Amino acid sequence: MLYRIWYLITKELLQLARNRIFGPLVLIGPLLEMSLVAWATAAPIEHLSTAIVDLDRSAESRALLTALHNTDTFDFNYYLTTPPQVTAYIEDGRAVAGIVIPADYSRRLANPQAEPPEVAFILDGADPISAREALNSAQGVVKHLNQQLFTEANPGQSADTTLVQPRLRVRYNEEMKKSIYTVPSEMGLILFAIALMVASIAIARERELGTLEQLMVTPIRRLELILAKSIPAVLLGYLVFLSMLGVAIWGFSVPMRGHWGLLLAVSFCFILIELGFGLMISAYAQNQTQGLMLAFTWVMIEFFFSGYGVPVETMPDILQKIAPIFPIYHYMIIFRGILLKGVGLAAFWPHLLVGLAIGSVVLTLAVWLLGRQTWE
Amino acid sequence: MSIRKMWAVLVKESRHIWRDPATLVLLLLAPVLLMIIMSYALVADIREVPIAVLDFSQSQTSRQLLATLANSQDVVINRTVAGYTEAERLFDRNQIKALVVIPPEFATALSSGRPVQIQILVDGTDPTTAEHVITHVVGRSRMFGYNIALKTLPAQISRLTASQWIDLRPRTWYNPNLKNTHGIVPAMIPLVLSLPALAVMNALVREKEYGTLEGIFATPLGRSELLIGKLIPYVLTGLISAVLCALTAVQVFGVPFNGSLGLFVILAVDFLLASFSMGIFMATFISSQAASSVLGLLVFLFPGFFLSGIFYPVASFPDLVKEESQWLPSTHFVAIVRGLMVKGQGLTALYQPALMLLALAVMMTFLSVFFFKKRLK
Repeated sequence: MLYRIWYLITKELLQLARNRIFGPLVLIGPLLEMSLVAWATAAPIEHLSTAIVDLDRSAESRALLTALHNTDTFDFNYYLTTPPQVTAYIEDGRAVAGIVIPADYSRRLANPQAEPPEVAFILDGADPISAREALNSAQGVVKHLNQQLFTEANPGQSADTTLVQPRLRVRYNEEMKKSIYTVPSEMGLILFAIALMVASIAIARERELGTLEQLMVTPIRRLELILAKSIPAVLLGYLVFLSMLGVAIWGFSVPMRGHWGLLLAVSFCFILIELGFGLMISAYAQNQTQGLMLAFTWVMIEFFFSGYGVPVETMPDILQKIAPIFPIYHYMIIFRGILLKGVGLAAFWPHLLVGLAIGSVVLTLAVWLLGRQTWE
Repeated sequence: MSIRKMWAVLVKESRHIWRDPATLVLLLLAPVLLMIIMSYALVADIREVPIAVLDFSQSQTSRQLLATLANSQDVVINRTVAGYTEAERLFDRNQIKALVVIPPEFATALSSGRPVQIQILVDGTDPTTAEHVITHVVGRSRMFGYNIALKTLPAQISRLTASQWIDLRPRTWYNPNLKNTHGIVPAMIPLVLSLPALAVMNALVREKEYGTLEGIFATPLGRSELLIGKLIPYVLTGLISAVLCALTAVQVFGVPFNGSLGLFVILAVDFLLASFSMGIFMATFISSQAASSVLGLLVFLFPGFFLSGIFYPVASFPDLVKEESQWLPSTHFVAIVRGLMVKGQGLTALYQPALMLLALAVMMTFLSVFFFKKRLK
């Protein structure tokens, strides 16, 4: 049995080496892509185009604008003269935020007990993620200014007079850097997508070209064929994984707090599981186009269970219930757990177990589908 | 260029699509299906984040605080732990996102009017969820203290309100509650339409791989007739998908459609031409479907997710990436779809991305005709 698999592996590797574009594309493409994406998304959301109307033009209003500008969230691209102009700039998309300081700002600020000055802050909600960031940033600035003004007016008194004083401690990611969360997600997603793609056309190609029938009349068994098809793909996938991991840790300073051996072993298992999905698609598809489209669709769905856009825990109940079907859901929990929290097997063994169970089911299905389609 | 010859290629390519029902269904319906699943997953706003409490006080006051914290859907107290080690294990297993520790002196301090600290430990691995927990737990516990002070220490309250100096009045247009639905669901349309782009690229590569392209070379067909004839059937299926997707966004997810439908169709064709001609351009350089699949991922899927401005605004990218994202058709179409559907913008506001798409389409078609050597190897 072993030598039969060995011959097939040699054939696969030869085919891989003969295609001069494919190998380098699979090895270098994901690495470049991950670096680019990680680089692009490592910076916090800032430099949002902002339109300003300062009707007061006083030292106080300038202090407020400077404080807002110092956050780097806003780029003051347009200084306008009347409030309706802001409307036009937001409508046609030149600005995503607008700040209007009224003419009586400094006068009212001198006597806030009577009537505090109102500052209009207009946001384009069409991009809710940026809008939320802008809102948080502006509210933070105003809160800070309020505290400052209070302390200046009442020297010696603490601005924080609340009875219950929450003290925060953020664990694992003290600075709450977004990249520590997003870079591992991006990496896991790119890795899974590539592994799935490579596997999903492996068998479909033989079927499309008619060579699958030739393989079927040789003494090779279906399971052997599937194993032989997956080994070169695993090798490629694992190489891609190692290089991307290196870039994530040394290039984008994602912390590695857990056990290296564990991380490498578990990742190997999950690449295998994902390949199983690809081979299942491949055994089902009639031709490479179908295999490709199915794999593409599957990757897009998996994307959402990686927790990149919204955390899985906050999705609707039905989606939370089906999330465990997707290997990436388990893998992202384990991967982040080892990298960021430094946890061991004791913390995540249920996820590993479910992943392995999915893997064996999928592999069995692939073998079954291969037989069914061939003897029809 | 002769229309008749182009028509012949067009009919042949349409038959290819039509003859294989599975591919046709994938081409037409997969984008809509994806759109539904992805939007459904993404429009969820963060809520019911699981947290645990460690209550050293065990008093009526501490239970009141916990009731206040649990009194919303923002967080759910699903564990009461006895010590830090137990909490540690829950953090490790990803079962809680935060731990609220109430000190033993909580009730006595509050009843005598002394400030008291409560500790909140937050799992920072996912900063978005962490921020959500912080906002709600901190806000609610401060409010709890404020309400107690209101009863027992009215003198301090007047000072508190005096700290309201500047009154920031936020007003959000188009999407007052900042719900993800209105911003993200329309932006999914360009993303799911990368599926037909992949199919186009594959259609040309397949002919190369099979060797049927050589048969076509022997005919009097010109390069541009071949390429454009191949493109048009896919633009039509893509357009059907685009309209179905927009319909789904409006009917299923309640996204407003404030712009004109005619303009949407025209700009969708503009986008499809740009992204498909990009697919054709790449197909001229590769000769196996395996390579085209990986290239499709690298050029259409990942940049579509990460670089087209759906989750991160293009404005905050480093300059080099900002320039690169201008080369992606989906970046421009995200701006167009959001503007047209949600803001009701017309061509006067959208001419810039529309022109960019047109320029990309023309340039890519020209380049592919140029590089697509009509000869045998």
